[in-house]
Amino acid sequence: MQKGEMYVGWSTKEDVRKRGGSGGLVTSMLAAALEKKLVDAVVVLKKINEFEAVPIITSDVNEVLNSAGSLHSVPSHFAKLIANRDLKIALPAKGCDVRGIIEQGKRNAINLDNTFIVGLNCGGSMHPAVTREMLEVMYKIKPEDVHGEEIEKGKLIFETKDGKEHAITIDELEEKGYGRRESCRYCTIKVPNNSDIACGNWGVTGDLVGKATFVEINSEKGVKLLQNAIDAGYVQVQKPDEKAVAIRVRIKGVMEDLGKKWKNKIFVPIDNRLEYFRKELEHCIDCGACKTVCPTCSCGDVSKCTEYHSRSDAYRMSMYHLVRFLHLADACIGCGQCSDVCPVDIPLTRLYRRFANPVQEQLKYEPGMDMRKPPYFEVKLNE
Amino acid sequence: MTEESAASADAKTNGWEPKMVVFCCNWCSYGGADSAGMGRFQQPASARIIRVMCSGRIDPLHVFNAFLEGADAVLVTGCHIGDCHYVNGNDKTKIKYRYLENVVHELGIEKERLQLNWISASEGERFANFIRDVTAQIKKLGPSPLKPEGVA
Amino acid sequence: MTDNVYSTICPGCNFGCGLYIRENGALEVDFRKSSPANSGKLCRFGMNLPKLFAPTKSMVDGKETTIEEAAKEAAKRIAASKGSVVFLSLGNTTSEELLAFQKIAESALYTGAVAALPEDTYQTLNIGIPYSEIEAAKHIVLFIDPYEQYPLIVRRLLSARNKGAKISAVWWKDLPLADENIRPGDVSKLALTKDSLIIADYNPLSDTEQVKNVLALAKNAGTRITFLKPFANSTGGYLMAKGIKQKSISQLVEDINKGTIKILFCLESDPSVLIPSETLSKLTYLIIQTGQTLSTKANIVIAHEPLYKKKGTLINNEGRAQALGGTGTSGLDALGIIAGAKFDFDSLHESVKKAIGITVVDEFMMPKYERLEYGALQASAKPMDAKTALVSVYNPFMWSGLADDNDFVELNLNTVKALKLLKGGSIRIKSNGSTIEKKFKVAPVQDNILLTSNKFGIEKGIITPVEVSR
Repeated sequence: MQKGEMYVGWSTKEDVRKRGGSGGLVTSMLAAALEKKLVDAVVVLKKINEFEAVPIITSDVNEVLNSAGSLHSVPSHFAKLIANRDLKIALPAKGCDVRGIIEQGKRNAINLDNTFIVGLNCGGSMHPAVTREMLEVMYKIKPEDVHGEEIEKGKLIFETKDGKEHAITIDELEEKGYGRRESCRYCTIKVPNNSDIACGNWGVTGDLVGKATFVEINSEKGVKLLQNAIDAGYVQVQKPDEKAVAIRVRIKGVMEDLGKKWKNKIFVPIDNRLEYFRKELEHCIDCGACKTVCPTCSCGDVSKCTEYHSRSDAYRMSMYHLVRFLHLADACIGCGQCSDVCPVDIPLTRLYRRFANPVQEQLKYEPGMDMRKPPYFEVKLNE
Repeated sequence: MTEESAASADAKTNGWEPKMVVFCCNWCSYGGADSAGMGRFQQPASARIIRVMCSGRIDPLHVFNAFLEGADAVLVTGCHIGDCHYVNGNDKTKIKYRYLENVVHELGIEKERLQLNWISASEGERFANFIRDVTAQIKKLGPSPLKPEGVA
Repeated sequence: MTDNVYSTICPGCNFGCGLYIRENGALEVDFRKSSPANSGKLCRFGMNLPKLFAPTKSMVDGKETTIEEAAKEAAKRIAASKGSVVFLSLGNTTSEELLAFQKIAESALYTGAVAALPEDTYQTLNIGIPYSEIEAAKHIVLFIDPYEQYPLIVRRLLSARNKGAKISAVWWKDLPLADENIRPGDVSKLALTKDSLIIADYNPLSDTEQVKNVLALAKNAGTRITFLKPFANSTGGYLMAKGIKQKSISQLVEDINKGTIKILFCLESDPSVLIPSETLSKLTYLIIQTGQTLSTKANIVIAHEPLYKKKGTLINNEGRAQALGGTGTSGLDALGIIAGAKFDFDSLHESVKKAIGITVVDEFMMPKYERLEYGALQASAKPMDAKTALVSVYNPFMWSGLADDNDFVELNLNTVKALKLLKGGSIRIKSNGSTIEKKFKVAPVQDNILLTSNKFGIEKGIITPVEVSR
């Protein structure tokens, strides 16, 4: 087994297969890593209800086996959770999680050699509050009646407890302001090849649909993770056929193109930009949540954006935001966490991307995709 | 017309003089400013010089602060590339400046309000011309939109 | 090893914001995005909760002890006082604890500012309008600074505005989200209709006449009115204590000054916020039962677990019942020692549910409350006579005595010019013989008004007449 290889696999444990989606491969791989002492701890989502789960770090294999799997309506981010904890850890990660973890690694807050990242293909996540409203307004079903949810062929399908399925196309939902979070719509990292091993159901064909996971090994750590799970008897794999590989590539391409379309749709040029930013920021209450939650910020409590900003400043624009705009110009990964937690609903991710898009394009630098040093810290600019 | 553009139209006709913060490095551009005076090259009274040991010391934060406190323009000056007295300080200036330029532009501040120039200690005339040119550009633009209320 | 994560409610005010508290050596807040009141969003205070939850220790006369010993000592002193004891809770704890508290306190209970207001206004004062109804309003009138006092209402207001609502603010300073800014002195300029919705603030320091005034305004125009409140379970406190006779804080202060009250027992409440320190010093014993950091020196501290570890029910401003995610009942146990009886959580919990008329605590379900009419009110709000005044804008930091980055006053450019204040300098504020010097921030505030969200120690209530100079 080596880097670059692809497999289709599933859990050997029947209850895990039943509970987890797509054959329970990810859950089993994490459990095996913990069981065989490849890592000391694992991050899992502890399910609270159909729309809510909380990420926890655990060393208990049972917690892992009983975890929620992935939920589309739990847009949490794991990079800050494991930062500065110095753990030998394995965790599942969406594209944006992986990017945050790598950026924390560059800033010495996470030791990447000790971090096993199981990447998850991700077409986007939804805000739980928006999802609830969407269920009532668009689907006309009570959130409490929802039993399961999946995305198939561009449709978001909810299954209710009476066994009925309710499907609406994602396009229609997003037209009405529901559906995925805005940052997910224009995200173009659908298959996280920056992780150690990328997993997902794209490319699973025939009888295996819904019962297996397609994996691509991206690093030596990825090899270790999968080999360990196979050796421990937790997981079985087989080689995918060429058709399956091609299908996966096609889905990835379609999703990425859709992301680019959204990007062009959202980031139209603005004329009076200073006024635009001032208007968007005028309700800011200085809570600092956007910085606390930001997965690429590793400054801690003492940071330029907060130390040079005072609530007694009567500036036309706060120093806090100016410094954040500058720092995020090369660091923003567009994960959308800041918009999620803003108490006055400032579309922060959109604002940060306004600065990050041109800078990252000009410098040909994509944060969190590899170990390249942020260009701001280069000694000499490569012209 | 917005209140601000009305103010700037007013400023243009009333002999308004912009205030510009000019960061000069100790070894080159500050010397350039000095030679400009010694050589009696005419220049407007718009510049407020802040001397730093090296242009590499200038943090984007300083530039933001100048704007927020009411500067109509901020000029970053230093030694010519290759002439830095600390080997490569001005290379770092250039890296930071490129970021800063992008951010300030995206923010919607006119590009004339933030400028970078390399000036050696002997280039007094170049310094005076630079100040004169920028002052003329800023006079056309009017006061900075970031100028706080009550600051002239 | 498994992380301890508690699903809890922010005790900063009565808004009912859900969050997680993660125990990871240090405490961390995490965002509970499915929470109905706040979608997981938190204000400055919520982000600072780990500071509030810094552990406290049980103490008797300055000596550290166990919670049982402290409670026993408190019970002994209370029994010996022969009725000159008052039990105070502002409603910063679970409904279950408040019910138990009532059983101890009976008539000598103070749970807020039910001051000289007619009883038929209590329901309106204490049970707010659901946030979704605020979002759907056509015209919203603010008698608060939402950014400073109740930040999580801001997004509801913005959402209403995006749907076409007009927002009028009756406040000392221009608010960015308001379409119309009216100064409190010009309240007669306010045009109200049946489609309007008034949002005001009701707390133990509220000026009774002002509250009456707003109530009368709403009554006369047939306008809906909702009051936001500063304590985690203000609404629950009212619902649990319904029908129990209570006196106002000012009456309590008077009684302590007269010497008829010798012991004050506070449950999860910081008395120094409401009661002047010279009055507190007249008490023989001050007993505080709490799970939070304390800014007041007490003779006996009964320290139980912090709110996030407690089991119990909070009722937010809308009247939503919300379950705390902890398992602790040491607060109830301590109250049991004082009462000389054991309180059973489950039966108290049943009583709480019965009082609200629900069978299960579900934060997504809104219990039904009657919106009771109240009779006509005669308000006699006197105009402000001071030329210059310092106005205290009470926010969660002030109610809980937690430090914030706000050691300055807000004033307008006219004041700066009139006093020839220097940029970056300070302003001298004089009141009742004491003078302080503070930094200032220029903001669109009313002429001759200084606004502060901090306690400087020279205030006399919400509005303090002051003299100012450079």
